[in-house]
Amino acid sequence: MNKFKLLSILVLIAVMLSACGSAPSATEAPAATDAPATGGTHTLVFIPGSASNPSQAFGFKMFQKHAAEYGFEASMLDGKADVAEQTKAINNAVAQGADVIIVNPNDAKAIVPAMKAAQDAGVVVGIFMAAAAPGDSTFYVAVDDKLAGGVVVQGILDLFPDGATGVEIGGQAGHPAAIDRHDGFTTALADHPEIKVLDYQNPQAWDAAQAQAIAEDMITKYGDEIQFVFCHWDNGATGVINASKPPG
Amino acid sequence: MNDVLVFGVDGNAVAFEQVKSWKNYNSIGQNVETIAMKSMEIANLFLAKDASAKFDNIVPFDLITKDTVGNFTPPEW
Repeated sequence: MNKFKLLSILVLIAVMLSACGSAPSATEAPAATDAPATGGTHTLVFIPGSASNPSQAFGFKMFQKHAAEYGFEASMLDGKADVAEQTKAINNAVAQGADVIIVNPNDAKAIVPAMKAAQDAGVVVGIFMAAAAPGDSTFYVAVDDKLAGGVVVQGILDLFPDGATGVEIGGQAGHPAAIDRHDGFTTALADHPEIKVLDYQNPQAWDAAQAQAIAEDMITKYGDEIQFVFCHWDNGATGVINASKPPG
Repeated sequence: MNDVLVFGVDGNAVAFEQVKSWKNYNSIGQNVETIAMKSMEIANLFLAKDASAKFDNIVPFDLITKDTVGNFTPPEW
């Protein structure tokens, strides 16, 4: 059994075990087993990086779907893929009297003052689908993006045991999930000099067209030297695949 | 370039198709619905000033490959 298959099995076992606890598997329908006992209704404002990002749009749909189960009324203010707009949205949510603000930050650092001000005003501030530094928010909920970067390195080694060359196309520049995925990848690579990253670039947004443009430039520059591509999101990887296909 | 190894993150419906159709495609799946629900659960703990409320809350991811894709249901998005 190769390492990658073993790792796959270990991940599956971990997910199965977690399913026995409070966290459902990542793709099975979760159950609302931890609904609140508060009795009242609190207001929750979801502030995505951009409402046009499919994962964030679906995220709001899920907040709406389950809000009543947890005693919330959920609404959304769009971060519009812009830190200034997202800061304005946080300030507006505080002014509207939100009890809880859930943010998917457009920038890991620039959004911090607004989130701290919201906490100072008594608002519970959660980070959604990205990690944060203690104090920047009240809490965060995310997958372990740094571990994900390490999983990618193991997958490369499984296919190319003697090493390989490839490229990394990051997520939205400055986004905390993109930072952690890159950090995890880089840290794991430090133990594997046989894997060489030829190039690393970030788009300005989670935009598949930008990912494809970056991939096309990299293919032009490095050609068949590219044996692997780590793209930080699947829709961006669609652009990578489009760029990799032969013309016609 | 048809056999280049591609790794993505999210595990959305597109990822499931790419795992099946591309020679070497793997996705690290994150469940948006679970993360949304967990966010509201944790927010309630903080609102209630429950001592069990934690700052860092990690949700496990799924590794979606040709070997494992049949074990999962593609998400709606």
